[in-house]
Amino acid sequence: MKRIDCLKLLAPQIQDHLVVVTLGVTEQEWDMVKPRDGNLLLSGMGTVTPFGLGLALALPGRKVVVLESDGSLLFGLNSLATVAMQSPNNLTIIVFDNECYESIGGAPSHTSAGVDLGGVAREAGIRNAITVRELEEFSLETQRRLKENELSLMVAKIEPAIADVPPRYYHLFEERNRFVRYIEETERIPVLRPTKIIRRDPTKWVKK
Amino acid sequence: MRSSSAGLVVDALKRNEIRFITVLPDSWMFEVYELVDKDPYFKVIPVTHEAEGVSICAGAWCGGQRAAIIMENSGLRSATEALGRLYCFPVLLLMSYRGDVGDRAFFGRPIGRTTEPLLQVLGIPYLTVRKEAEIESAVRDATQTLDTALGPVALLFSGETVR
Repeated sequence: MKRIDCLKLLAPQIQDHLVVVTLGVTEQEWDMVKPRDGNLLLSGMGTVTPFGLGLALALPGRKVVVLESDGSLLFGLNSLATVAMQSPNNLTIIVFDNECYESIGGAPSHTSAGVDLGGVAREAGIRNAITVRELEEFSLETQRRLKENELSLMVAKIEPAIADVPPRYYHLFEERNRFVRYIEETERIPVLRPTKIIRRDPTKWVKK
Repeated sequence: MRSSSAGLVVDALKRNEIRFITVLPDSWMFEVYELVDKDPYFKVIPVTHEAEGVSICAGAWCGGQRAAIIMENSGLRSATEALGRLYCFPVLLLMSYRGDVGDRAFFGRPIGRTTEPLLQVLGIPYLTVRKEAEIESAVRDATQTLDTALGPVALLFSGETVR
C-alpha cells in the first residue's frame, strides 16, 4: 500500500473538514492531491497531533482530521496520552507508518523494530484505534471514521514510496493566514483580530 | 504564588478573554492552576510536556480561542522546539521565574540562568512581573502583543507575586 494511493482515496471524502498535515513528503503529496484552504501543512516533528487536538477542542462542532507520520508521532508519543484523556469526539488521526524517515532517505524508525503505534494508542486510552494494511480497508475505515462522532486513530502501514510531486514554495505565515481565514469564514468567528487605529484628522494640521 | 496575586492573574485572564489554558503543574504557579481548574469560565487541559502544551494552544488559537500555558520556566527549555517551529501562532506563556534575583531555593538559579537568554533567542517578547500592582497591566499588554505580533509572548512571575 502506498501513501499516495491512500491520499487519493481519502481526497473525495474530505468536505469541510479541517485537515492538519505532518511535515515532509506527506504534506507535499496531500497538497498535490487535495489543495484547499481547509488544509494546514504544519512543519514540526511532534507538533501535529497536539495541534490537531487543540483545534478539535476549540471547535467541538467541527471535524478535525490529522494526517500524521510514524516519525513525527514517535517524536511526541506522550501526546497520545493527552488526546486520550480529552477524547474529543470530533478528532480523527490517520498515521502513515512506513517504518522509516522517508523524507531524508529512508533510515529506519522504531516502528521497523515492531513498535505498534495502534497498540500504543489503544493502551493510552484511545479505544477506537486500529491498523490497516490494504487499500480497500483504508477506504472503508476512513469513510466510517469521518462520519462517526468518536475519537479515532488509524495506523496505515505503507511501503516507502515518494510520488512525483511538483516543486512548491511554502511559508508558514501564508499557511496560517489562509487556514484561519477559512475557519473565520466557515465558522463565522473572529480569529485574526483587526487593530483599530485612532487617527488624527490630517486636515487639522496648522501651517506656520 | 501569593493567593492575592493568583486571583489578580485569573481576573486579568478573564478580562482579556483568555479562556483556553494548558497546564504543566509548577509549585509557584500552583495557585493559578487551582483557580482556573475550578472555574467553569476556563477550558483547562493538563499536558505531559510543555512543547505539547504550546502546540495544543496554537491549534486552539486557530479555532478562535486566545490560549495560554501555565508552566515553570524550566519548561521553556522543553518547549523550545514547538516555540521555534510554531513561531507565528500566539500563545501566552505564564511562567514562574525560578532563579530570578532573590529566589531562596538552591535549585532556582540553574533553571533561571537560561530563561531570558532563551526568550531572546526565540524572539519572544516578555515582561517580568515582580509586583502585584503590575499584574493587570502586564496581562493586558501581553494580550495586545499576542493579537498584533501573532506569536508567543511570555510573562515571568517573580518578586512579591511569588513570595
